[in-house]
Amino acid sequence: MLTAEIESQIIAPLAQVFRDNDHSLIAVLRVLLGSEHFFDAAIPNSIIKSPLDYNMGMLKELEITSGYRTHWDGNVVHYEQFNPNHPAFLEQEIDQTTLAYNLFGQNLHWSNYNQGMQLFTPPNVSGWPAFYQEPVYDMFWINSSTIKSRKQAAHWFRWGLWLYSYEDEGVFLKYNLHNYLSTYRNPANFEDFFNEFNERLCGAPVDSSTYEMLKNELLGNMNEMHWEEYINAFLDDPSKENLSSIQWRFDNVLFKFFELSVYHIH
Amino acid sequence: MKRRSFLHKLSHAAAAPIVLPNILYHALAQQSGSFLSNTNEPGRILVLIKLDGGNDGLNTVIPLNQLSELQQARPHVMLPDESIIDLGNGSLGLHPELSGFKSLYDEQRLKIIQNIGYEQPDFSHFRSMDIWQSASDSDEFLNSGWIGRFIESEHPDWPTAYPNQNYPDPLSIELGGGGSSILFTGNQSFTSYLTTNPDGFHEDILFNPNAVYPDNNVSVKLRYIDLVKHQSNEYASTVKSAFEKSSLAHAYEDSDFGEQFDIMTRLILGGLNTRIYSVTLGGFDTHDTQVDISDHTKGEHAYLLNELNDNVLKFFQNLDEVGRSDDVLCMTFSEFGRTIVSNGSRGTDHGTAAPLFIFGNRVNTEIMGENPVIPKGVRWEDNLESEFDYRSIYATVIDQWLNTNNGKSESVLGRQFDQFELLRSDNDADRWILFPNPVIDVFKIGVPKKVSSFYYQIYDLNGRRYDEGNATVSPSKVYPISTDNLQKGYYLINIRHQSGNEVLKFYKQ
Repeated sequence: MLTAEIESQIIAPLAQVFRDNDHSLIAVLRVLLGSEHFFDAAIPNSIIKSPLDYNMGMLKELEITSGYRTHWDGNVVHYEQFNPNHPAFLEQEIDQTTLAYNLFGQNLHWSNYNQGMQLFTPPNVSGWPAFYQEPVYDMFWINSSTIKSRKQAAHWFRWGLWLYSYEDEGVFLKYNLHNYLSTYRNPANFEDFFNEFNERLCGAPVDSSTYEMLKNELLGNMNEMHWEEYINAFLDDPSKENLSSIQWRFDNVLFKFFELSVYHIH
Repeated sequence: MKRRSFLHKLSHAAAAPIVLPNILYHALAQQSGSFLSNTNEPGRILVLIKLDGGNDGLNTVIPLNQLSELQQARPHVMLPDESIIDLGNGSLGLHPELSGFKSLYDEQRLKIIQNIGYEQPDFSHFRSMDIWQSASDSDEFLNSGWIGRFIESEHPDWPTAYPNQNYPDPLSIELGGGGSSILFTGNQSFTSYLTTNPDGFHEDILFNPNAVYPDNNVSVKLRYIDLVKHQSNEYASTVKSAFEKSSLAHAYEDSDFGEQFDIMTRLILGGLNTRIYSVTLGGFDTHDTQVDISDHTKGEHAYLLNELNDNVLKFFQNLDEVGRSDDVLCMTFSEFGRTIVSNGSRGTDHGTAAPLFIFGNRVNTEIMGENPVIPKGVRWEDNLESEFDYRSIYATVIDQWLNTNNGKSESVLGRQFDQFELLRSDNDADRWILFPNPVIDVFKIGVPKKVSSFYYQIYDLNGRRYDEGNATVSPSKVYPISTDNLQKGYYLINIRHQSGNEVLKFYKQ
């Protein structure tokens, strides 16, 4: 809510900055984003992620384009470093345009669409209601259909982004687990790992009962020590064998995190 | 309503423990057939068909006494006189693509209301659609929709106490259109369940019923997300099982709009007792190429009306097959009509008043409204006068279809609006009807509800008998009879049934 105080203390001075700096928005943003007001913990708020934020947030977090191409040959999964400039994989040649279309057109476009945001095709000239329709705003993004589509997106991305088909099996782009784990301070400790995820990607701390529910669901009867063993073994020796044994277990955990209510906001 | 108070109310609603479906819920007064009865029993259904973009009323329902005036005013889009379907009431015609509407009219299942609009019409799509959906005056800004307010008034404990034993199914379902619309936005929360593919992905969404959140703005969002997750999980199984249970006798076209009808029909036939549905057909903003250059009966508008006609007709045919069409009332709406005068791009621009269709077995099919009069020397900026406020229709639908005893319309719409007689008197359900008349090849006999079989004989006016037969009536209560062996002329059909005798007259063309 805009109070008279905000009007006089924040907006008017920013307008002055705007005028003084030859109408540069950069200058205004620099002042605003560096201000005490911007970091004021007394006025916490949050916004529900748009479909684009939700999807790209996942893919960016996983640095998907530095991942692997994966291919299931009926027995094992093959992993190979993805290089978008040399897309040949197995015997398949694929041109850049098709690859880009498959990668972003197929995977991202439809996922955004199903979540209520068909990119480049806003429902009308005002854009998407979540950006302007009072009093509901960002809550427009979440309804019984889109909440399922969000889960579905997380589920898709878990298998990797589909690139093309080879011998009736999909070739997927999958994040590099070793690189990803290495971005965490202490990934082998489940609680530390979760807390860091929570801090890094969610708009609010998770409540303790949700954490316990999630932990039970994901680790089940497994002792947290086994989580530690698996992760450490893989970090020490990122061999394909260790990768195969940990990848699906880790995916189970990580892609559940993306369903958390706190992940839907930022 | 301010965002703050919307959130505030939502946060209070959602602050109550999220309740699982075995909640003890004080049953509301249960009146069979009304919206108030619990949704375990089949009851009345309302289907809203949104024609997005502003439908050209004058090329949809055509005043036959104004053909030459229309030809002068809108030469770029006017339909050839001979292509217009004559409704047979002496004054109105339909676009050639609306042949199904003609048969629904003949079957006494279509009501046309002309010249609907509101005072000080707004020509902006968004604003005018908001006005129609929120049921506001032209200069009044409401942030909730009339359906949302109606549902909230009937269900004060929505959303936190739902689903529950009495109401296991969603109260309303939106199909198509992309997201929660203002139509279903209540003062406290959204009131609709949205579905795009009930057969799709159905794993449970991660949801913790015991989550505890601090009391702040952030938690309002989290509680809302949790509520949607909870309802989505709870409703997913009932919606999916209804969807899978049913199959359709008349398949819909493979189009986005056809798919919306497909899902809706399967859910109704599968026993889902949701009472309000909405479907959307977009693309009516026909500023250009509304008609093809060489053939004005073809083009964008014809394509859209074909979709509308085809899906509505099949919808009723599918409902007929299982005897559910008595329970359904369907109505179209659009944000405005279009200009009387056509433009050089073979299109029409944003206008004002327009006709609206109401479908239903029990509808009183008397046509309402005078034929619009096209003024001499009409200019681009001249528009049709509205004769009925659109909220008269809402008021009528609320009080006479959705909620038959309590007169809710005044509180939902903010004040009283004139109403019309929506339904025929009950005696009419006992009436025999013959349609279409005149007959081309096959005519149909509409049979009263309680009759399941009859014997008939067809005579000419000289008493010569041409045909006879025993008829077993399907649940649709419509029985077709071929006239292949009849010459042009007048005939009588004599019907004998368990409780009497009927004689109906028809003309074979």
